[in-house]
Amino acid sequence: MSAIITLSVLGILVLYLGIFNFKKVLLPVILLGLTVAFVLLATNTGNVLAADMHMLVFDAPARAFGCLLILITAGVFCLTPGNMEYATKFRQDVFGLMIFSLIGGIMMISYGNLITLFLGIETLSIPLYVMVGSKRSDLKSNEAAMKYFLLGAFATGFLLLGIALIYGATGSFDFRVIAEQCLTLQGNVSSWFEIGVLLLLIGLSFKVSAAPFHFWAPDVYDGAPTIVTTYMSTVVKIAGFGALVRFTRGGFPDMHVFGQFTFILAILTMTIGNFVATQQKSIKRMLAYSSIAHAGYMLIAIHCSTNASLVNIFIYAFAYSLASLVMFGVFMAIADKYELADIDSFNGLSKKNPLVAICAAIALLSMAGIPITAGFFGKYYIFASAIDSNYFLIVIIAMLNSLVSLYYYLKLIIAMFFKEGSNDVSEKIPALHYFVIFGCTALNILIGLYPNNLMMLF
Amino acid sequence: MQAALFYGLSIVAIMCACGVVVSRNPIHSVLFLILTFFSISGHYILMNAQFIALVNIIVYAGAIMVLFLFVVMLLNLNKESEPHKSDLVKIIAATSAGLFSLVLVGVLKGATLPAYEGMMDSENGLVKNLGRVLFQEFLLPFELSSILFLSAMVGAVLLGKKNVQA
Amino acid sequence: MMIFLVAFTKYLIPLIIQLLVVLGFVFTTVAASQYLGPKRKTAGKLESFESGLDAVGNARVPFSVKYFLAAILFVLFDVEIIFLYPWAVNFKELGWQGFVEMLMFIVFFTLGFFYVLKKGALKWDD
Repeated sequence: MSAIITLSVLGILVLYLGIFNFKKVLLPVILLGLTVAFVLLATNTGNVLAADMHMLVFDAPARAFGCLLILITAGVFCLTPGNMEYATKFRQDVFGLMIFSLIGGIMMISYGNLITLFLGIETLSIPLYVMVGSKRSDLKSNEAAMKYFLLGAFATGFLLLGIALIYGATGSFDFRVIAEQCLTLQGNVSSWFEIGVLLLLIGLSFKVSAAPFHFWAPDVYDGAPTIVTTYMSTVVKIAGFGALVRFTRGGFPDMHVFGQFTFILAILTMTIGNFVATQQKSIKRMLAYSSIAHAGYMLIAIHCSTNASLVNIFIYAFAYSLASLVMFGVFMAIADKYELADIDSFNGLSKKNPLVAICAAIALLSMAGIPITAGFFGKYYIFASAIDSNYFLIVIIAMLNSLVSLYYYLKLIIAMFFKEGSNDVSEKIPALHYFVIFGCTALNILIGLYPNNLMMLF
Repeated sequence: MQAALFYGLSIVAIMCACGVVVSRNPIHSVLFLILTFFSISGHYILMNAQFIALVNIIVYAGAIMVLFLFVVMLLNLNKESEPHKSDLVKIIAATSAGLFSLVLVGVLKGATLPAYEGMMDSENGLVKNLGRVLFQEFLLPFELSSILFLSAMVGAVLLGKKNVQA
Repeated sequence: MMIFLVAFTKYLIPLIIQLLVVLGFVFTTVAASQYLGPKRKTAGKLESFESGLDAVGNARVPFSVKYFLAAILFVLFDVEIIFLYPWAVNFKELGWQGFVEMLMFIVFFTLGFFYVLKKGALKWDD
């Protein structure tokens, strides 16, 4: 709770620092504030406000997910120097919105009540709609914001209808009461409840861009300023899955009723994401489809809802976000300035900047799930616990999909290492970018070497 | 009496909601939407929730609808420039929407709901009780919503201001 | 329910009858004048009156986004005022704690308001 207060004060502070022309200190203040929030969240052992009424519950999984969100957001902020030129005049506005949106994300991974879930999703989304459209002179950015807003509002409608039906069936928004009702009624829960849960899942799967609710994702990822795309493909994904897994593990004994729904959702998402990604020329669109595919893998853990689902999704989201940060960092450093940044813009990177090329390669291998990277263990844990609960078919499909994904990740690696690039002078990359790229890569390999240490967070 | 009012209001609400979608002129759509809001406000009054009914009229039928009219004016929609979707898209959309409503009706038709005591209290919807619930049980969401409002404010200024000053 | 019925028959029925008569009179006269009056439609008569000039183009022209910005900000503060009402009704019962709660909410809004002012979002000409 104190972390949320810190972050909201930080958001206002950033807005006012911008107004009174202290733009130089913006980034240090933000990083300091995020650190304070991180520490407060990590050491928070229970609810601070007595009047909280079980609205936000900072239990161990919520703290782990929340710290991850803050960490990744700090990474995104470190990537902003040099990549916010489009917003020189209103940089503090975008920064402030990003912090407010982070608060929404933290609410989404710690809710104990359907009202706070809804409020969290809105607090995450509304600043995001604006951030996507913050490149105001760019028609593509405007279009992306419009699309995201309209479809997001539509999905929110589904979510609200779902919440209303659940309330109608159980008479409460509180998770404890809802779970209790499910237990006492033992499978005889009113069908209002079932359709309500289904609608709620639909609303959430829109936020994590699971097929067939993914149509907005490529256009929005492509049209948004790249720094916002980075934020969306990492923080928003983590928050969405944190909310999903909290919901499915929230004490409903008969969650398997929705097995069919999540089964179809997972398979469609993986397959569509991976196969369409192979056809993409633009790197940004390719990363968008690959992020859809990754949502599919994480949906497997939602589908075979076991006690391990929480930690499996956490590790997967951690690994994926680290790799994403590196990839988008490299992309912004070398390719973002081209009108249509296709795979050829990565050509010959290993000659120009071998260290960065190696980091990018490790990130791509981690996304594909090659051993000694964090991505491998992310996939391994999810698949292993799925096999443990006898979901063979979905694991086989996921394995085949990983093979497909290797194709387009390798295409980028080949472009970096084995193709001749243009001989223009190598670009200057800000020091903070190097910090993010190297730091994330190191963390990635560290998790790959000692994956068990992450489990202790739960 | 109450049942008659309920059904009357429901029919008006549904007809007007259909009118919003069907009418070609966007201004007519907005006017239909206002009618829909009014009939929903009637429902709220039937449930003895006068405050919500009034808020619905002031905020939705009043303020938000003005915004909608502004949007219609800003977009400058004309009949000629209205985009036309292909028939295939229309058929797909109609089919999926129809299937979805079929599922909803099918599920909700056979549903039985347990009766709740305490929810029949006619005092429930009054402002006093609403305030008590809002400021005690739902205090945290209430305070957190101010963050949402603030970010909406910042967003509106960011997107709407012509030359954002330094 | 009984009291309601008594009140209904005693006070409301005369009112309703009067309302019906008034509305009926207005609608009949307006409708009758529409049907009984002579109509000669010529192109010149159907044109909208623009001080004798020919009307050109569409009446709906796009206008400045400034109006929209002001309207959005109005809605936000409108909602804030609405939240004040249930608090005011329970003012005594909620006491100081309620006061502090509301103060936090309003401080947030005020900070936003100053931000909007500083940004010059409400300045009309720039």
